[in-house]
Amino acid sequence: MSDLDVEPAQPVAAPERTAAAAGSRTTDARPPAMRGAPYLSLAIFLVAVALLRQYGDFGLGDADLVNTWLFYSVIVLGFYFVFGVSGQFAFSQAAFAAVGGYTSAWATREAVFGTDTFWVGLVTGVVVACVIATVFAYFMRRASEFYLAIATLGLSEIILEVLRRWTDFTGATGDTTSGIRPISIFGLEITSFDSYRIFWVWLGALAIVMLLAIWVSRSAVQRETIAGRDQHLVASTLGVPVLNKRIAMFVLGSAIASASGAVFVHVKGFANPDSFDITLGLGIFVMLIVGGLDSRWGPIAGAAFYVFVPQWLQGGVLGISGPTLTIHIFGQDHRAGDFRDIFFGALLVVTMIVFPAGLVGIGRLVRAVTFGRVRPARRTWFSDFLGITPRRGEAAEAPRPPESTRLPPVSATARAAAQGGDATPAAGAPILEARDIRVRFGGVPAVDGVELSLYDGEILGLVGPNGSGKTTFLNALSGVVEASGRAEVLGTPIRLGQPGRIRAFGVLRTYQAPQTYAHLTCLEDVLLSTPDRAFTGMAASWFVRPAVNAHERARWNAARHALEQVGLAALAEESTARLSYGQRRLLELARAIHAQPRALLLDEPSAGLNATETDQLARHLARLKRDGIPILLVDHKLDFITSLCDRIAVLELGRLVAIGPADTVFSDPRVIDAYLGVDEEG
Amino acid sequence: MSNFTALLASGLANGAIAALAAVGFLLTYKATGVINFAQGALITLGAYIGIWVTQKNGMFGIGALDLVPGYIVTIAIMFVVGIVLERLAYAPLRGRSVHVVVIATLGAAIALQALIGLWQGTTPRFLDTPVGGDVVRVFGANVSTQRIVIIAVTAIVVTAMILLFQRTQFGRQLRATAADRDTARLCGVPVNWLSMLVFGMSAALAGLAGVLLGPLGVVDLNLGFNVMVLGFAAAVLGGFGSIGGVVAGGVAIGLVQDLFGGEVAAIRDYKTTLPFVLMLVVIAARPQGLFGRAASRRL
Repeated sequence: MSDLDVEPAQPVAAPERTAAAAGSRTTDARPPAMRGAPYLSLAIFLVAVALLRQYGDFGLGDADLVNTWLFYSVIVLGFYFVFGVSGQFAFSQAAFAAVGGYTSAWATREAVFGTDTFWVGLVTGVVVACVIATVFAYFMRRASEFYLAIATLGLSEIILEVLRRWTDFTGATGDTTSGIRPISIFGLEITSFDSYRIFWVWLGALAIVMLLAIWVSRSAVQRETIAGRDQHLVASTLGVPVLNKRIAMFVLGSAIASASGAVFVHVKGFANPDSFDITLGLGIFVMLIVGGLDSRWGPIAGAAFYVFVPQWLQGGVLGISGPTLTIHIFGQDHRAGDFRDIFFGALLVVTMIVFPAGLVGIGRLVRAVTFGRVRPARRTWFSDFLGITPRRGEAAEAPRPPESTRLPPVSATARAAAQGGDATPAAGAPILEARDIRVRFGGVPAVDGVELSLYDGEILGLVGPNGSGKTTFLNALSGVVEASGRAEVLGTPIRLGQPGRIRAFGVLRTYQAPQTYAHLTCLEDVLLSTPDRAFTGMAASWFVRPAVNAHERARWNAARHALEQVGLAALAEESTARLSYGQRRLLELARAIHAQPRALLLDEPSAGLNATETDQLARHLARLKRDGIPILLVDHKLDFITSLCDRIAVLELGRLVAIGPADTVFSDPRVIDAYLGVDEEG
Repeated sequence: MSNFTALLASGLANGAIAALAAVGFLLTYKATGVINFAQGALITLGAYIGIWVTQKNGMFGIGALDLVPGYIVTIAIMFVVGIVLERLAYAPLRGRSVHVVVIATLGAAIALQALIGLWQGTTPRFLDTPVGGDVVRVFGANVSTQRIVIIAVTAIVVTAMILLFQRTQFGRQLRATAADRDTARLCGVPVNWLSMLVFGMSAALAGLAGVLLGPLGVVDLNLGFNVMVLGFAAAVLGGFGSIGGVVAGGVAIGLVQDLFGGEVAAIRDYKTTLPFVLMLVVIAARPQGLFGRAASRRL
């Protein structure tokens, strides 16, 4: 392992970890997520579609198909945010299209706001859908993924049933609402049989939604949503507002669905709840998965496949002649289109087994092969989610290096480094103070009234036999488990039982097993802990691009600097899945550096590290301490602990049995009895 | 009073329908941890097979079967369908996470529904029942005999299921397989046979539900889906996974729908939404279900 070489050799001039200082070195480099030319690709795509529509040789049927394709692309893009980015199993997309469509029809028919303009109807429909989606998502926040799926099915049933019955609102006779006002743009009326103008409306809608998607991906929103999706507790303790992102994505997807529903209804001139039933809901699911759910192009590709392929199979589409299949079954001849759903049902299964990244994934593979840049098998969150990620060439699940039975001594340099600073804890008010913290699992007290204070400039070790409540104590402080007691950061009480609460006060924690995000690059992973949370919201990503870009750039540079400090700069743009176990530990350390925390709570940071790596870790911790960051350090390696820590606290059965400098504590008979006397390793 | 009893009886019967739909997917859920979204399509298929074997020409032109033998043949056919489905859509995905299987069941649902449409067309059909349109008077209220039959059959099925899971070696093996498939196999549980059997039984229960629910109205392509979502509501109320709980959940939604929805004029038109409203309230307030226990989550 060459980790030793990467360790920067200048202990002096530990640079200020600020964006400005780091920026001086790398300001010219654009952050990876800001590279590429998404606007250009989008423009080329839109122009190509427009040219095809303008000069393509096809009839009215095909023109309608193109419009259907664009409609599906828009509504599936909405679902891309909900399921693709945010991982929420929702079947409600079609029902929200119905909400948008019917509300818009109602608002224009009744001239609710004194006008029957389509745009007012559209906005009304979207606002109503957003309200419903927000309330729903908020109340379903504790639902597991299958419960959410079932809940969205229930919500769809309720919405469609209400629309079937509430004729005062829908203005329907029988099942169908008719006479809905056409869209009018600059005085041009777009009637239901004018498929040419309808095309432009849909193309414009698609352009807008694609722009939203680009902006979301070029801001903090996308990576933070992904972090919340893959490991929500870790994301919260890093400071990501997980629930906000989840709700925002659900509402965004539902709003896009409702807008597309409004356009759909006004373009058709009539509405029927059956157009929005579960058939459309399942179709949306199929289109996204077949198209590829980790790219904004997936929905467009999937919708094209869904709309055009069956048509091609029964004679041709868009001027391309097809095979004109007829199949004789059940005593009748059937055209290929009749098998569409059987085909897509089967394709859904096949896609997941064979190419979980969908058509977009196939496209990437073709491009890689064509241009000779074969990249390793693409791992998507979805393939992980499904447990079908290819195992080849992956370091993520590398076995932990065996822990030696005898702990290796921490080197003299690390020891010196640790004691080099002002080793005595500074007097004065504690940074972090815990009073009477209690956690019970069932009837068993896991943490039983622990009192601890962490002072400025110290490393406080927390040791104890397995099951003594060390991790649970950290969990209590960071709100991961329900706990009682008081915790204060710099004298301000913080509420327990809320993950991420303590992070808002500048305290960062790590977990026993390294928690890195396989679907983010190392840089993105480090960025999750950013102390600068300005302009990380979704609205900001759309409306104040310059500020978002400036802040993102500063954050990227700071994160890169943190990676340099731990020696991972060369891997900055690689997926964290490619890191070894030890490197993932270092990545967590980079996160901690980037976070500029008031205090750190580290849970067994040396677990699974070999002697060299432990040594390296010790030096990093010593440096953090010199930079003025107090650390609460839970660990099992006693040499590591004693060489680093100014004070050591010992837990046994959830109670604090001793606290003080290492030599005092370890000569305490209670500690010897409780901890050192027990041969726990067997 | 008689109005109240009638609503009560109707509510119980509707609850029994939801519970009957739910036991099928609960069986696979308990044994494999997978929610089978194809259960609705299987119920629809059961109803159509019931029509097929009892109609004038019968299946493959062998003539119409009498109703009760016809039902039994239907359930047997559905058992085979379940095994085929397990082989095609579940067995190839074994060892994958439950999510992949759930999405595969979605694919199976889409394909199955389309296949039924191709086979039987989209015109609604009718399924006969031995008790015809008879009505019995229960405490002064008219209740259709078919609903009484449904309540009785549901009671029998649920009791049998509970006994099966709690009292038999088969049930213990199922629970062990659900908890940890690999360990169960190491202990000598024939896990492959079990999962075929479970999917077969689950499809057979769908067939039973199809032939019993079909006669209540018309048989069309959405029959199964609609009762399946009701079954979901009942299962969620019952704490998903508890077979006794699903009966309680089913009765709860049936009663809410008919008593509350029937008595309060303002929402009478919307009473079919009440089961889902109740379900959403339960998920929001008590995600572990009304009768379920909280499962602790670990990082």
